[in-house]
Parts: sequence; structure tokens; C-alpha cells
Amino acid sequence: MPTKRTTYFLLAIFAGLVIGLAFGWFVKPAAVRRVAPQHLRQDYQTDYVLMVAETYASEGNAASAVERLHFLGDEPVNVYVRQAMLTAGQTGYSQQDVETMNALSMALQSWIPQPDEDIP
Amino acid sequence: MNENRNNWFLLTGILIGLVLGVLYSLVVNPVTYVDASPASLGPADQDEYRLMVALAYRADRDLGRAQARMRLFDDENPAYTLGAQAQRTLADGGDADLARALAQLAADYNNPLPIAVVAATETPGITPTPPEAQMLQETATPQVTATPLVTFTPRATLRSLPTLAAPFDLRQREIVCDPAIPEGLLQIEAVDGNGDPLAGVQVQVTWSDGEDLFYTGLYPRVSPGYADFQMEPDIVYSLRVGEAGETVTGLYTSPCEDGEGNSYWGGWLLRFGQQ
Repeated sequence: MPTKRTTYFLLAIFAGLVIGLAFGWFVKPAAVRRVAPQHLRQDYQTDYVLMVAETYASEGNAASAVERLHFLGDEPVNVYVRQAMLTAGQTGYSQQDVETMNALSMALQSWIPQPDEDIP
Repeated sequence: MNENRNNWFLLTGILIGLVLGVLYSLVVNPVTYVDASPASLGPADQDEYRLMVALAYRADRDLGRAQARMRLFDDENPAYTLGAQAQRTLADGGDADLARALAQLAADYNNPLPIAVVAATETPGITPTPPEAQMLQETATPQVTATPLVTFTPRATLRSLPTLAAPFDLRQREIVCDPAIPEGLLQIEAVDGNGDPLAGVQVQVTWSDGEDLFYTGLYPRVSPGYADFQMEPDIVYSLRVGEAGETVTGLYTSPCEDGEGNSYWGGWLLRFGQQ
């Protein structure tokens, strides 16, 4: 049977544990917020893809578009574009926006990196 | 005394628990963020996202949408943030074209072009998520769920766009003797054909053994068409505004005197208008 001293010792450990967990899960993360782009909410990722598509529509530079889409992570870039088009369809983006993203998707499917282009 | 010494085991227990708790919560099972907003990104990623906002604005000229996107960052002064990023880009030897896009949005942010009108149609935009609504998923605690927020932002359409390619003429050139401004300051203002300040105009300053390239619009609080350059005494500078504009020569720090007879270096004010 544990003595009173042992019981208090275990309670002290438990109290320290609770304080340590609270620090690590609630205090420290609030102070240091560094989230990678792949953890952006899906609608923000969709908007980012739309921005890339709008820029591509203006510049016509597929290599730059590929490089910019890699901001979202290491998946093949068309995965991000397809997912964005899906989200855009579900959340009421205009037909024009969807078409802009679709044009980017088509361009990426036929895009072949040139030797003088930076391949992301 | 003996009783105090006997209570040290409580402090030892708390310390052991504290170390175990911190190790578990920061190393073994740390908090992971999901469904974050752009404001939660690291500084470099925020810059990348902001640059994309500026490039998209240059492509679609939709200021309402660009402003909605910039509000995602919780910046106190988005125009200032954009201008500062443009300056950092140039200072780091980055792409001047990208800096120009950032400067253009910085300039237009608080001074929308009069040619932009709000169309009757509405398109989806993104609204900033309040910090308390940002979802923080912790693997050891229940997750808060939220649905994506999509609201409708008025979309601006464009009747015509100003061109930055048309050459600029020197409209005004005067020595500035004002002790309230930095000594030897070369101030440049660029306006379009209607007399409205024009941002994103390239300014090239050259001297005997060097040159500098920058753009108007980096100080939107002064004017979207404003830029300045710090001259050094005993150096003669030349300046050209735009890519095919007139070159102004013979710019140097001029001696001035204040009301008490103290001498200081004056600067220049140059105003350029687009043809």
C-alpha cells in the first residue's frame, strides 16, 4: 500500500505533466505559427490555383505556372488544379473562373519541359 | 527545517512531470495545423502568396478581389506591406518585374484607378477567417470542424488600362531647399496623361560609376506616383523615367541655407508627365 509521501509524489508528477502538455499544445503553438502551404484550407488552395491560372492566362508561361503550383506541395501539379476545379464547382465559383483553371489544366497536360526551362 | 527538506520531493515530482509533458507535447505528439489561413504561413511563404496576389491582380485588374485576398493576412497596412516586399525584392537582386507587380498593387490598393467600375455580376472571393475560427487540429484532442467560407466580392471590370510604355516628359524641375526633408533627396513624381499619379513606372538613375533602378509606387502614403533617391555630394547624376523617356542630366546636391545661416545640402523635385 503506497504511503502518503508516494501519493503526493505521483500527484506532483501529474500536475507537472498537465502543465507541460498545456504549454506544448496551447501556449507554444500560439506563439510560433509556421504552417506549410500544403496545410492551407482547401478554399485558400483553390484561390491560389485560380491566381496561378489567371497569371498563366495573361503570361502564357506554363513553366512559371508549374513552378508556382509547387508552392502547394510535392504532388504532381495537375492534382492541385483538378482538386481546385472540384472545389470551385462545389463552392459556386463563376464559370469564367472555372474555365480559367481548366485552361491551365489543359496547358499543363500538354506541357513538356524544355531543356532551357527551369524544371521544378 | 527537517519538514522543509522533506517537501523537496514534491518539486522533484512536478519537474519530472513538466519535462515529460513538454517532451510529449512538443516532440512526440506536437500540434499539427490543418486547414490554415495564409496568415498562418511562415514569412517566406506569405511573401510568395502575396506575390501571387499581385501577379493575379496585374492579370485580371480586379482590385476588389485583390483586396479581399490581401485581407487574409491580417496586415495592418497591406499597401505598406506590399511596398516593403517590393523593396526587399529589389534589394535582394530579385526580378524587377515581380517587384513592379507588387508596387503596382501597393499603389492601387488605397487609390483605386478611376477607370475601374464595379460590375453588376458577382463572383466568389475569399473572406478572411477570424483567428478563433481557424481550425487547429491537435492529434491528442478533439478537432474543431468548420465549413469553408466563401462570400461574394464585387468584381471590378476595366474599361481601359493605362500604358506604362508611353514616354514621359519633364514637366517641372526645381531645387528643393527644405531642412525638414533629408539632405540631397531627389524626389520624382510621375503622372499619366490625365494628371493622375502613376505607379510602377521605372526610374533609372546613373552616375559616373554606377546606376540604380527602382519604381514609383513604393511609398503609396506619399503618392502612388512618387519615388525618391538619395544623392551624395559631389556626384552628378542623370535620370530617366520610363523605358523610353527623356534623360535629365546635371542633377547634384545644391548648397542651401536655413534661416539661421546654417548650410545644408538641398535636393531636387522632378515631375514627369506621360505624353
